[in-house]
Amino acid sequence: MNITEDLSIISLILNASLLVKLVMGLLIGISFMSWYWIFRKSFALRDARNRTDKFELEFWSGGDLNALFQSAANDRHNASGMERIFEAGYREFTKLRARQNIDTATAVDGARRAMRATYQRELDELESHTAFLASTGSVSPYIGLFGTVWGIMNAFRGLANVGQATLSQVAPGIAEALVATAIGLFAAIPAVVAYNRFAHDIDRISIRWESFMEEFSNILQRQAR
Amino acid sequence: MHDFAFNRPQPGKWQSALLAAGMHLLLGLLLFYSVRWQTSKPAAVQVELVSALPPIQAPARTAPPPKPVVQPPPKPVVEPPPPPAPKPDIAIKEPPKPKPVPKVEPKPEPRSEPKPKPVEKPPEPKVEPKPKPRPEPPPPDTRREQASQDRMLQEALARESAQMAQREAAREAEMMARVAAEGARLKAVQTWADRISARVRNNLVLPPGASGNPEALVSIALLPDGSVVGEPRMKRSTGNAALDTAILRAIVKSSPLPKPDDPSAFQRNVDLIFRPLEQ
Repeated sequence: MNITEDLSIISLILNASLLVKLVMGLLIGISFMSWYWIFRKSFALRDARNRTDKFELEFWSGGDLNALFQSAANDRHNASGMERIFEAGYREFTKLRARQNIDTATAVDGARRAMRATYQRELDELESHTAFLASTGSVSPYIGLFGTVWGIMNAFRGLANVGQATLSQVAPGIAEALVATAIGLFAAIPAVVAYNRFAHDIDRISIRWESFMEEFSNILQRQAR
Repeated sequence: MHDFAFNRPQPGKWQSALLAAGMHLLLGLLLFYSVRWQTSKPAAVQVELVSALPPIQAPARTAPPPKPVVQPPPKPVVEPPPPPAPKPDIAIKEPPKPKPVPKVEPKPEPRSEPKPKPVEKPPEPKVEPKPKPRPEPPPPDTRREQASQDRMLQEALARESAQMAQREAAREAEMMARVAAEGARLKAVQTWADRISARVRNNLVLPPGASGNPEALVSIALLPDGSVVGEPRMKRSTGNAALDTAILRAIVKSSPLPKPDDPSAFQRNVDLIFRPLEQ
């Protein structure tokens, strides 16, 4: 072990032991995936928010429900979550109304159940992959720590073979090992922040959808009379 | 059933992947350029490398040439190479003979400076009449010593001084260039010596009873990769035979020794002043 050593980040990574390298590679992979989902989720959530705004505006501007339903049904691949909830509820309601022997309360109930199902599905779609961010945030520091502990163990084991121990003989090994923790933290911090942010956003959107469902059931009930 | 969730378009897939990659690239660059730890070892004062110093003083280079004039026998080996390629020869000679410096210096300069090039030509015509102009110098030398003819001796002297002048000039120029690099090189040599002694110290098993602050001067022959050639020699003992052998053993055990950061500081023969007990 040389006493004078340049510790650039590259040489630190290259000099690490195999296991520490593996840990670093794993962490970099995790970090990449977590950033990927951070971007994708943030795009998806922004999109969902904008469309919900747009649909709410359209819905409450007092247009014809049938026209609204038609446009939602025709454009279902591009529809927003709220539009789909509306479409499912209205479709069920009209189907039930068409039958003679079914009273209003049952029809509204059926429409509500259909809306509830679509709501669950949409919410699930919004929430997908946020669990990955959560576990990245909680686990990757530990993975990094594992790499560090392993690296430091090696550094000390190397020290045992040297008669006269100086700090400069252990320092590079420890610095090497600490890089693993650093990478783990780099992966974890953005993931935790993004997860909290997304959870909050999804909550707000789901509350809007839920209140829309209630209000729409009321409208259907009124219409049925 | 409305399973739109599963076949709907997924926007921003590639965009996100690219952004994530960009993010990591940025992070990597940031790390690469901002994190440059440099552990520079504090200059420990335990060791000096003796033979590293002389080459910087110019006189050391003149030392070998003048001697041959007085003692012909060793000359034949050394002489033929210099005229064609003075530089490498000088470079090789530098380290081994540091001490003769002061005595020899005064002579060559007065002789050489007045006649740098004009002198160079006369010797050649004189040599030409003889069958072999350059390869021959060794034989004439020995013959001249035996016969001690005046003319031949003077001729040899003239040629000698011409070569000296030539060498002097080359040396002068080289010296100027070297003096500039001297400071940096000294420093490199010093840190190298520190590292060597630190390595040796780690492998040193102190014999019981060693005390005080003994000092050993050890001569080590090195290969460019740092490994020790042959046995290191103890030039100046510590006064404690057990300690001496322990030091020599430690040096052999430390092979390969660390290489200098600056490759130009490397020398094949290194005289190391080592104080094993100093903390």
